[in-house]
Amino acid sequence: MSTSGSLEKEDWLDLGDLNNAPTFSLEDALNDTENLSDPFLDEQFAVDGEFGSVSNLTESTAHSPDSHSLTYKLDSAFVIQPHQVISHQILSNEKKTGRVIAVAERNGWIAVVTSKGQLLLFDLNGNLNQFHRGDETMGGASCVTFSLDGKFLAIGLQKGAIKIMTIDNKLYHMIDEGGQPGQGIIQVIYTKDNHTVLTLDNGGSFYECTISKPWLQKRKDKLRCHVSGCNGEVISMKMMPGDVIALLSVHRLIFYILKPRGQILGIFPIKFEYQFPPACSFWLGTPKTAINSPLNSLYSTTLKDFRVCISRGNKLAILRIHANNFFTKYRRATVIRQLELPCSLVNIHWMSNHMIVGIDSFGAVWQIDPEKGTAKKQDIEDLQLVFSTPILKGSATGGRVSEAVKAVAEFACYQSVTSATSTSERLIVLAHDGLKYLEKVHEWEQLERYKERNDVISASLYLLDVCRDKVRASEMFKRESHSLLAEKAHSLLTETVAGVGGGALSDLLAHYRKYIRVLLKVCITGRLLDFLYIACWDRLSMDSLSKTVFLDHLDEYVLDGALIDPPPPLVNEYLQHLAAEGHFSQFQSAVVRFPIHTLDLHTVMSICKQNSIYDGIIYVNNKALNDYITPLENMLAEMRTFAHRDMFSDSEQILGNKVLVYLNCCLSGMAYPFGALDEENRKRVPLETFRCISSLKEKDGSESDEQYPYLRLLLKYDPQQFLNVVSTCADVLLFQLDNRLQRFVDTIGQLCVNMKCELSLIHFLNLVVQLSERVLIAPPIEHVQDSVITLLRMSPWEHSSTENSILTALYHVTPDDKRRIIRAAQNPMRPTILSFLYLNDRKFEDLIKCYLESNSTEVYSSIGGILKEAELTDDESAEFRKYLMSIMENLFKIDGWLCANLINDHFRDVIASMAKSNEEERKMVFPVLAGIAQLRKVSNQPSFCNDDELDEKLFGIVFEGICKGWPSWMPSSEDPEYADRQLIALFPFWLQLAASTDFCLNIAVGNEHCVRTVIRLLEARQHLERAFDLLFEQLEKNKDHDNIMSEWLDETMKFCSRQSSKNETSDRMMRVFQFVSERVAEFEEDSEKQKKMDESLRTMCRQILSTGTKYAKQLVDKLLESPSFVESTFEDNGGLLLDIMASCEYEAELYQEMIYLIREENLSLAQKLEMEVSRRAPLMHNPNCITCEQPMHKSGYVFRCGHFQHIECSTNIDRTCTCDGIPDRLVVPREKPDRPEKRNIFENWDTKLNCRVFPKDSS
Amino acid sequence: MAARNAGTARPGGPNRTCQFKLVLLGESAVGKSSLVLRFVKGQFHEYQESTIGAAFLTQTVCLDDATIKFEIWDTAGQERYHSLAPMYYRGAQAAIVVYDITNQESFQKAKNWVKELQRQASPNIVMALAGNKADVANKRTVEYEEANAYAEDNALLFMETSAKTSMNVNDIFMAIAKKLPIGPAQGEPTGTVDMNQPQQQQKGSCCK
Ligand SMILES: Nc1nc2c(ncn2[C@@H]2O[C@H](COP(=O)(O)OP(=O)(O)OP(=O)(O)O)[C@@H](O)[C@H]2O)c(=O)[nH]1
Ligand SMILES: [Mg+2]
Repeated sequence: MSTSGSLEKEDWLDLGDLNNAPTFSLEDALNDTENLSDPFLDEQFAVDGEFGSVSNLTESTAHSPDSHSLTYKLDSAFVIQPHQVISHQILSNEKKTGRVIAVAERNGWIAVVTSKGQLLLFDLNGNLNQFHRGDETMGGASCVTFSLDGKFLAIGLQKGAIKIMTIDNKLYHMIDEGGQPGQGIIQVIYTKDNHTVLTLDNGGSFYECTISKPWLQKRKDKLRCHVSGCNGEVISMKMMPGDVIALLSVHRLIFYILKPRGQILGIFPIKFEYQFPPACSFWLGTPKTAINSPLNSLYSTTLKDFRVCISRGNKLAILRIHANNFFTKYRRATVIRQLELPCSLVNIHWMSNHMIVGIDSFGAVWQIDPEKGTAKKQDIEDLQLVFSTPILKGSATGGRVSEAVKAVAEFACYQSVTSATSTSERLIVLAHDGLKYLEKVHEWEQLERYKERNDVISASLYLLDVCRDKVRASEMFKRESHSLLAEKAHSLLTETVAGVGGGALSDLLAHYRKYIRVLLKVCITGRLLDFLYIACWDRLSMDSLSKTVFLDHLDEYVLDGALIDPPPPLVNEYLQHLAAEGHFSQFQSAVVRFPIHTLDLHTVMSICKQNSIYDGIIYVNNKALNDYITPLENMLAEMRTFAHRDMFSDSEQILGNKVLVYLNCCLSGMAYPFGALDEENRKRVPLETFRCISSLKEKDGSESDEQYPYLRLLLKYDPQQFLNVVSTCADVLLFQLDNRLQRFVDTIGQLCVNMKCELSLIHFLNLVVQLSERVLIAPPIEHVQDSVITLLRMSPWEHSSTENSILTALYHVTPDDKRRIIRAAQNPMRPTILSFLYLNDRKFEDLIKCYLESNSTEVYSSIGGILKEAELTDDESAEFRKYLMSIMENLFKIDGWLCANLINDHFRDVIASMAKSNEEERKMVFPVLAGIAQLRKVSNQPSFCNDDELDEKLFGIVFEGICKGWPSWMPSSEDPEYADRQLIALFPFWLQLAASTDFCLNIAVGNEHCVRTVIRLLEARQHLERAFDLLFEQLEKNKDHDNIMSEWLDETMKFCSRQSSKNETSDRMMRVFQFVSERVAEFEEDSEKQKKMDESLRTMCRQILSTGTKYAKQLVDKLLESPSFVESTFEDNGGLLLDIMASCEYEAELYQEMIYLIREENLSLAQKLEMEVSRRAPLMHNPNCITCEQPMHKSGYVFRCGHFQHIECSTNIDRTCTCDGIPDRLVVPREKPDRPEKRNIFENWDTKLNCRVFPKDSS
Repeated sequence: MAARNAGTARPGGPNRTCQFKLVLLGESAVGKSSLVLRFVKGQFHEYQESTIGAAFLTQTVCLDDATIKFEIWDTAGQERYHSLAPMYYRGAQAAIVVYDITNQESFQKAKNWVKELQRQASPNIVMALAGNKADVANKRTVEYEEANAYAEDNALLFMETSAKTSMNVNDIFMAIAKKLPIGPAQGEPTGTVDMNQPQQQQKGSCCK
């Protein structure tokens, strides 16, 4: 069973079938080291990504980012109020009564107990009502609590007893041992029956004690131990709604329920910041108006909004408890938020729906918002809390306390903080300087404080936020807030006008700015417009300075349209102010936002006209004169002056765009620049506008007889945007009636074709596609066709998207007369478009024909594409191939290389037919074959069609072509030896084929420049002597050209070393050497040349050496014969000698290495072999045959499993034992593997605590 | 012949098809086109050409009870096209304002766009804010929290997206789709009549 402590938001409390497992006791829950195998429990709490990410947003939203004068600061949300009377009494009598230890409150009584075991009972006014002197022998008090009905008090004592007192100070009952014997009590709480107390002792035990009624004879208390200290250290407990008891242990929070028998509802891990005590508090939502009373909550039966907040140190989690799911298998709680705080909390209390108060280890007070996940330190003094340290350390009982209790002792303050029972908004706190209330500050108090400070600005902004629901406030306060705000607005105005009482002008200006901004904000966003328009405007416009400031700050509000029904004088002052300051763009945006009747038309119009503020002109025309067309016509006329240009100035661009937007508004029946038209205009304006722009003639423009002047103009200006205008309003009623859209599109198409403008045509096609996709028109086939053809005839295209547009259009619109389009696409050739057209109809042949006609090299990729991608049917494929075969010769001609690729990929059978004999034909197929040869070489296939004879013939053509320099795709060169090199380049791969007959040789001989080729061929055909002779001939022939000669020398050397196994080689080598030495001798006079020759001789020597040491001896002989060597000093030729020696040595070394390597390789094999030999079966288990059970008299097998079997008894063909048949099992299986060590779950606890948490065996 | 109402509505049918106009706004190079391309075609180009004017695309998404066809206007972010934007957003039922999380300025621009929409677009336009290029979070200059807080204040849908990794791209369109009014079937009264946007009301709630 798992206690699943997963911190996944969703499922931490999913205890599975816990309820069906009665054996799972509280002890188990506290102490189940066994079940802690669940990895989640060992993890740190902070696994959730949300941690930390939200913690630092501690600022409340009360700060708006605008600027400082529009923000305000809320005071602390809490206030600490010392209870002077009680504080005085407990402090002044401390000597007599002892230090105060614990506090409790109920029904207007405050109980305080002391270190001398005394009880002080005060009423709320602080009058000491009762006083109970304790019995020193029983030890000091450690805790106190009221019964829920308020009639009894239970006092826990440090030596283990519990006193039950009545409220009128009678000792009602005494429990001698409220916990384990010898342990002090650390907490007592009453259950709802008022006769049962739950106790915790400092050994960590948790008891339930039902107090016997005095009138019953049997005066024995029923004491029940739910968990004893050695089994789990409960530190604190708390009553919760729904009879739930929250038990806080060192590392868990357990929701427990007593009745009918102790049962666990859920477990939550709280293993962090060990030294701080865990704390928890609940919130039970009540109807909005009711005051939330913690006492009432305990009795509440509607547990709808039941939340629990748990804290420990700097971590805090908020859970929602699903009380409905108690005792079911459904999830009983969900983590709704986890936060990390910048402090370590020691106590928390849920004050109101949105507010948790936390007290940290230094006594500072924090406001935590459980919804936003924010924490804010309060600007109030620290609470010097009384901590229960000595009690929890067990000073009265000899320090015999559980380690868990000891661990949190330092900061435990469960007893010195208690919540008031009647309201959740008050905490009662015992501090070293007395008893205090920690209370929530109410809105009124906040307002009062602003007032005290004379801070009208903050007060009004605060109220404004309350009105606008930006800060949380009670319903009551909210209801009042608007009228309070109005009051504040008055005070603000008064303050504003009061000025600064003399001083510099700049001070006054700053003052006005500060106040007027707030005033505007408050009046406008706080819906106090009347006050603004009348009182404020009247007062502020009296002074020119304040008036300017006022108007200056109006901009944003005007743009937001927040000034509803402004008074005309204000509007006109404002507009004139803008014009005077030159803020024309603001003027333009502002003018359209005032109701027309507030404008002074004459002034506005003249400002607009002077400054070309079209928006204003349009607005006045539209609204005042109900004229929508005149401004359009005027703007179009203006546009005509520049539309034909390629580039526009900024102002032209602005005007052009304005026309388009205005057109868009008018056509779609919207008001310009925003808003709506009235019913009548909505019908009229679109139609009028449509008629205007689509008019055949300009209204007064008799001067030009161009048709559709406006449409032309707009298309000329920016066809894309104009057609987008059409597209964006294509679905309005106007266009849908009378087939207008269709006709309009037709007209546009016609014009575009007419204008022969590429851009217009592209966008016309795009428009058609868009509108047909949206099923708004039937595609105008004829116009699309004309447009496409017009576009196809243009060349070159200026826009990259043209082709795409045509294709898309053709895809959506099937042209009637495809042939015309095809014809247009052929000249100039548009392969993509042609392909599209033909492939669509599956007219593959036609497409290919087109390509052939234009001799386009695209034909090959097109054919390849069709064969690969067009998914031909068998018939189509056969037909297409047949066609292709018929045009194959044409294909040969266009591009040999591409054709070779095509044939290699798709038409291998054609290759055989290319072995032509006629020279002309050979010339024709040569480029293709050369390509194929290249491709085969790349793919390493040394054959054309797997037929030796044909291959020879085909290669012959390639060879011949190159040799004779027939034209092909291959690069050509002036160099006469170029063909030679090309042929040589063929050889590494094709030599075998070339040398199979004398054909190639003969051809090569025919070209006098192909000497190398001839030599290679001779060599390959084993005419070695002839080859060498030819080489030698080259040497002799070129003896005057040192460079060429040395090249040939190289060749010769290479040849020799290739043929080194032949006996004749040494002779040949020597012949060459002789030749060279002679050459050296010839240059005797010319020391320069001789030196050079000497050098080459040596080089040759080295070369000879580098081909092997075979000729070393002969070489030395020859050298000794050579006069130049014999006469030289060692210094001159020592290097050469050393080289000879080194080369011999090197070879010896090489041999040795080789031997070593061979040995090395064999060694591992040998070892393996050895191992095989020495591999033995384990000892035989049983010397008797496994089958016949007779002893080992005859030959038999011993299997690796340890069994023996006679050969004659074996029937298994694969010679395995009959025991389990696993062949060749070398090793008897190991015993069960060692189990991994048990995990020490406490290993990772980052704790100073030097103890075992469960001291089972420490006692 | 002009199919002016070709999409046949099935009144009250469980699966209606609604068309909505959606516009993308935002500074140049923040990735508007890339977002649309990813949403419509599932592609991403490292070198996406800057949009000229505006581009029109469509994409259909299926919700539980309706099929929504987005008519998307991908506007050009370059300043000189700014004044044309009203043409695209005024008829739109939804808008995505895009910024680039690595570019603080684009976020400021986005805020201006939101303001402009609030002032001038249809009052019930569904607005979303997209912080694009979330894949390059190491160059982030606009914090998630900052944008999220702003979006909350202005009641915008908000997501950080990446056209490159397609993170949240479909999600943001789906979230918008879910917020759009799927009006009653044709023939029924259309409830509140929006006086400001007559033609849009007809469009937005009428099922084609
Ligand atoms: N790393 C990354 N790059 C992106 C992402 N989205 C877009 N880009 C890149 O940003 C550049 C601009 O993207 P566009 O989609 O053209 O931007 P735009 O907003 O349409 O720009 P305009 O059309 O000029 O308004 C392109 O190079 C994209 O490859 C993204 O999510 N991550
Ligand atoms: Mg773009």
